[in-house]
Amino acid sequence: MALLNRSDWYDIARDTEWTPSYISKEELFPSGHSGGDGIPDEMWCTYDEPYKITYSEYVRTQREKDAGAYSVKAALERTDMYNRADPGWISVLKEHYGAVPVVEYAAGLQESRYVRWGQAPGMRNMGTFGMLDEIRHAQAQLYFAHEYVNKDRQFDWAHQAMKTNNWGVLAARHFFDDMLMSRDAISTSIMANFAFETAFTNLQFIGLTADAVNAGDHTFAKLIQSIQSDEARHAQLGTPLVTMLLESGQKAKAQRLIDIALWRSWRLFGVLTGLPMDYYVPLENRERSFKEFMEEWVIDQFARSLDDLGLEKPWYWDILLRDLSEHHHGQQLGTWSWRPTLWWSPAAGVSPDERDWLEEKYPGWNDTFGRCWDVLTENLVNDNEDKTIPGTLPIICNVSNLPIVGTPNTHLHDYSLEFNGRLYHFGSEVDRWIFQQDPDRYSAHKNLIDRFLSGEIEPMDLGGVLAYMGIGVLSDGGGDAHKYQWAENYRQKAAA
Amino acid sequence: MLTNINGQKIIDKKLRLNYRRKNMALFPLSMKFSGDFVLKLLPIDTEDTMAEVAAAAALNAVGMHVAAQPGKTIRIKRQGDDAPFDLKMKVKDSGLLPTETIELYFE
Repeated sequence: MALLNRSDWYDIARDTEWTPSYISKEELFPSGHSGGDGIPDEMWCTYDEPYKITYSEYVRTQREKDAGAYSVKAALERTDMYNRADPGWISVLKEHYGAVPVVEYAAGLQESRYVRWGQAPGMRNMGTFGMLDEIRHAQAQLYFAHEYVNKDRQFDWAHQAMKTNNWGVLAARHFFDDMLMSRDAISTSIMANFAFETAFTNLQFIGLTADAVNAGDHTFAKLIQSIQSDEARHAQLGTPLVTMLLESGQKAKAQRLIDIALWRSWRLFGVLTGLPMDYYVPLENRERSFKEFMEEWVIDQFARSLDDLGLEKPWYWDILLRDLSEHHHGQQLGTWSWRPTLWWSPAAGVSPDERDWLEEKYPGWNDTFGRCWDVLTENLVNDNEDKTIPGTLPIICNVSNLPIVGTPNTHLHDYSLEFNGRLYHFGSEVDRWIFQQDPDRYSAHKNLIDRFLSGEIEPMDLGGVLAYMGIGVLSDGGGDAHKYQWAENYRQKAAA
Repeated sequence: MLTNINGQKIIDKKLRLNYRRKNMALFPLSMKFSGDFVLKLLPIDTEDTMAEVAAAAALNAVGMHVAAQPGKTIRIKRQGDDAPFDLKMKVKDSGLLPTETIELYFE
């Protein structure tokens, strides 16, 4: 029997809808789960996903993608990339695998909620494919990381990290729980698909692909390229919803959701992507700086998407532009200094040549962040490793859950707020603004420092904190990726 | 002692974080040392003077992330204030809230 062409049946199939008679529409699509308050019933049938695909086409394409990624992995296993790679590149892999794969499962749950709670048939249809996408991403990345567990136990964090209270995990979980897991389907899709995936997954999955190819890790490059091809498709789920909110007079709501998601994504990706691109990837393999990638994918392209839809740039745009040259440099100093708390060993990335590159890409770096590195380097040159690891903890932001960092002598500030008798601390005025948008959502959460000071972490010393975070339980914590080899240049210079 | 999955001691000499001194009324502050890149937790005692607070803060910043400035005095002020605290003032008399941020700078 001949098959019908897709165009002959697709619209009928995807528009299939029914009118509930046993229960009310409000019971079928309760506001808290479905969202979309204020969108007229007749508008739901106008939801038009930009990317159309049938189930058989989807399965065929995904099978080919999997075959591509897995065959590259199999073919390259004999090349011994792992043992020949720069330790900085291995750190990129460890950080990525600990932070990303299990979050992909959470994203699968996120998409599954569109399948149940989405009020537009097309959204439910696309949500089904999106859910399958995310399950594939989780399984592939866990499998690829598992290959390395016998080489280094820190790769076990790929599977375990999200079950721990490691500070980096608390930051990631707080962000993804806020955006993926705890809002109605419409808000979630606008924040996660439109703002986060459109703007930011390109950074991690395309930007880092270029660095991976340059570093000779074609297996990782192929894997994350394969993942991004799915992201690019299901990221489009949110755009029609933004349009529907605009057409129903809810521009302020759409804008607020996007503004929150964009900033939260930016701050987390400063650590997830910013550190690898500007410090861990070997200098000769760097495609561009993190800031340059941000300028292309977010500052130019995402801003254009906002404009095309009739939305505004977030109110904090000027703060974001300034932050492109600041935030991740502070986080690099922090993560390297508190390296025993990490599940990877960070590269310092501050050899003389690397500092020249940083100064070229971020004029003024030497006179600001470089001054702190001068002191750390001097301690290493003088064999005072102890004085490179702080004896206290950083103050942590009550929204981003990242250490509150800034530019030395220029811009470091505690944006605090007293709310219901508790003093909250924020890493920026934007984080504080996010908290103020919905204090009930955020105020009960305790960050790592809150837990420490309230006695939840025992014993109340660094050993207790590390054990609480899973360090020494799942694997050892981090050290310097290059075992301080980079400091030899400075040692020789000092001796001369 | 903290051990790794193979039972080996892993924290060794870095075990320096200990916030419980005998008879201490723990009073945590957030410290911003001029020239530093991060706010740090500063556990002190309510009976400490500002001079003792400055000395405790210096241990977490000077010679670690901030270069020493020999011969200079470290001043403390509440974040945003113009005037520094008197170095003889006790923490309990300063009006500071737990975890409030103090600024420290050389003069």
